[in-house]
Amino acid sequence: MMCTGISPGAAKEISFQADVDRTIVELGSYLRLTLTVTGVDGLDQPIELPQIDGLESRLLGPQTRVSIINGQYSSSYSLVYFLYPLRVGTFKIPSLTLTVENQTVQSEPITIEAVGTSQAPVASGSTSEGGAQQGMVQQNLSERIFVVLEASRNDVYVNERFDVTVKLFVNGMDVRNISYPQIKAQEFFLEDFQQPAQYEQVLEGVRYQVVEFKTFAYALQPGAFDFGPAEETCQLAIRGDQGRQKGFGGFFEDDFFNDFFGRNYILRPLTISSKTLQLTIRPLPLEGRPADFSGAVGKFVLDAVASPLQLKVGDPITTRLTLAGNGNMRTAEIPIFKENGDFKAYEPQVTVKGNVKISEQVIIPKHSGVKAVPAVSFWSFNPETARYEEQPAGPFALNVAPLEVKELPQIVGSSSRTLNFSNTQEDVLGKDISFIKDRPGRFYDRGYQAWRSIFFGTVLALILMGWGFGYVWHRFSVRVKTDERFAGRLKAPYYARRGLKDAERFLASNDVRGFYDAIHATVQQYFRNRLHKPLGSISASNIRSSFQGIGVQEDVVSSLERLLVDCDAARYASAQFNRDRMERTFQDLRRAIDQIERKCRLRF
Amino acid sequence: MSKTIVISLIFYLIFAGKVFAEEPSAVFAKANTEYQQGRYEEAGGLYEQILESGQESGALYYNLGNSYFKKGQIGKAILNYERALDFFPRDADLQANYAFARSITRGLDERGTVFARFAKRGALLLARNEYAWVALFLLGVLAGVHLMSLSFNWRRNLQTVVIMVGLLALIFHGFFWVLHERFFARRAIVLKDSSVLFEPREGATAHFQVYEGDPVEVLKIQDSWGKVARFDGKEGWITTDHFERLRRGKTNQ
Repeated sequence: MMCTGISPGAAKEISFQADVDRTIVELGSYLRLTLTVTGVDGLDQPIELPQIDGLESRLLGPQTRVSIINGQYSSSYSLVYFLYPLRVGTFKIPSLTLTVENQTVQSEPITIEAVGTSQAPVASGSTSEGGAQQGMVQQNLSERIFVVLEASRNDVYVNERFDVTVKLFVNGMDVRNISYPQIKAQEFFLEDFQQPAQYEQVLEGVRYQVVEFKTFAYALQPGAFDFGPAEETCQLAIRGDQGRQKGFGGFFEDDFFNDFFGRNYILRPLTISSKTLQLTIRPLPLEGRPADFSGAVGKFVLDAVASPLQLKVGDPITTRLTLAGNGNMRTAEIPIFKENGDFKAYEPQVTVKGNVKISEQVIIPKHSGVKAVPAVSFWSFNPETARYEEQPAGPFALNVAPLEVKELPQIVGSSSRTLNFSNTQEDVLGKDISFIKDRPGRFYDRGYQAWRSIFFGTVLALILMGWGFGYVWHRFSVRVKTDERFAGRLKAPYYARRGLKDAERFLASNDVRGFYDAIHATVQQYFRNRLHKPLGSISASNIRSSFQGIGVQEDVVSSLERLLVDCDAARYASAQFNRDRMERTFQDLRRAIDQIERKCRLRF
Repeated sequence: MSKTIVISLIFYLIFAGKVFAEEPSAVFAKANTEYQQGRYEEAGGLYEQILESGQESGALYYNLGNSYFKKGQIGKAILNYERALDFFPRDADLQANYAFARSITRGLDERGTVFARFAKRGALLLARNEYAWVALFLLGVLAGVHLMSLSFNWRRNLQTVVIMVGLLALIFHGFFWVLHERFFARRAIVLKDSSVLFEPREGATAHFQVYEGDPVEVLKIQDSWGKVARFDGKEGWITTDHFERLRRGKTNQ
């Protein structure tokens, strides 16, 4: 029940509407009455509600809404009242009359019912709004959320298109995750739903949020059939009764934060069904049905374009047929050009975009005697006139030139201007394939693949190995440069070999001083690199501590200790060293280095 | 003595084909002569003889395609031109002949989706074996540049960029290589006008029409039926004697 009055002939459209948030109210509670005047910014004086026996009213205050959409200015002024029933019974808010800017507008009456507490129907899924809305009477769920299925017509022809609308009405409930509706209609073909629209609507004085889904449907066979019901699936957000658990985190468990982040709601699935419609499907009349009628029902317009219209034999003509209308485009068969003695015809490319079907087809004239692209026609049944109608397109006049012959060459300045080739037969230009290849190229075994060959595998392996080796070598070089200890360990055997060779040379020449200098230098260089000690830091007094923990045998350490003592002694009293002693020193050093190398290799 | 004769005879029977078979190049030259004299049937037979001996080349397929074209067998001609594309896809003569042969078929122009066109172009950028060698070359270059970047101590960011570019080049190349292999492995040419059916049985409902020379993608082989897809995505069943695959080998069953 839309409670709307519009002043006739008004320059500025003013309307007056009264609505309540629900029609059943519990005794001791209240309901909300909103009087809305659209088209004005305000009223000089409040609207006086008449005294209703048993119903007390209280003005909550005015509200003004102003909106500018696409440059269009609109405004509304609302007065909100709370109505408190003082007794159980039915109350009627009468039609209200208002004069604004010399226009008189009127609202529709509203009937409300006040019930006792025990009579209030309880519904699952209803919300507890809290605050000012505490005490709200819970109405039946079916009155607060329901689905309406509408068909634009209940008497249609087979394959005739009709509008289908599914509306979801919601009053004062938090509904989420609304899915597209499902309609049970086996004898009908339904298009996909369009994007839903959302708006408010007042029904019998109650304001609802409406989600509207629209689509088209086509009947598949004649007869009387049920259409629907439409089923809508959504989720109801119901405030959880968690209680407040104090403890740590209590601040964030506060209702404000829970509400803000939506944590205090439970989502419950809900499926709502509409009523079923009864539709009568009429068959298409046999009378007057043309032979090439393909079953299209509706109003259609056929448009045809062909180009080029001046061409040579063998050149292609592109035809474009555009069929637009309000019928079922999936089943509407757009006409095509068929191959005949005049034209070669290719298969058309057909596309459908909304209410338009486009067919592009290439046809080629076979000879110069072709004078026109033939006309095509499309037959459809128009349900408004109940007649079969033809949409012709074409014909298109053509100018088809024969294939060109070779032109005679001309010589500039020549008296005759044109060479006379009267004895020469003119060649007709044509098209052919290029000549064969003289050489066979390289023969392969059938199915040969280079990547399966041994050569390919070898080259691949070499590349990968080279890459890996190069990378490892680079890492090694970097370490030698940056890790002094590592580099020293690598150099130590080299210095040992070189030092022993020098010492051997001095031994051969019986040069005691030179021999022991070489031995001393070798020991210092070797141990500097091997044990990462400063040069000259190894002496007879500290050599024992230097080898602690390496695991070198005691006799080896002792021989090294003795060897260093001998080196010091040889500097000042070389005469006391004979060849045997030098030989023993040499062997002691060699043995010591061998053992240390073995131990260190294991250790490092 | 008789034993020697028997052994010689067995040897002869085993190796006679190999030893005394005519060189493919000689047969090729003979076939070219036949072609030049307008004896396309004989020329085609000789080219086929080389194929039967287990040898193949791009020029062989090209010339065989020309022979079929001259005989009016457009489907076979297109089949062999496409096989030649596997060997020298950038050859101007081949491209011209292939385009001409395609233009005179009754089928639809092979349009397909943007991706399908891109995939076909990508697949025919290089020849079969060129893809392998170029991949190897790219890998070698990538390895060399990487080692050079380490050796010359390039900046870390530059090294990363070079390696990423190299890897991307390899990946893209690999992608096109896969497209190439997929193209030739699954593609077939229709040899006879036929209806493609919804089901693999005689008398099934026709889905669409294919004409001689039309390319199709073979999705599946089931007994004597092949499930094929046209470039516009339409799929259906057709007996295997109505088409021939570009590469003979295992089927995608």
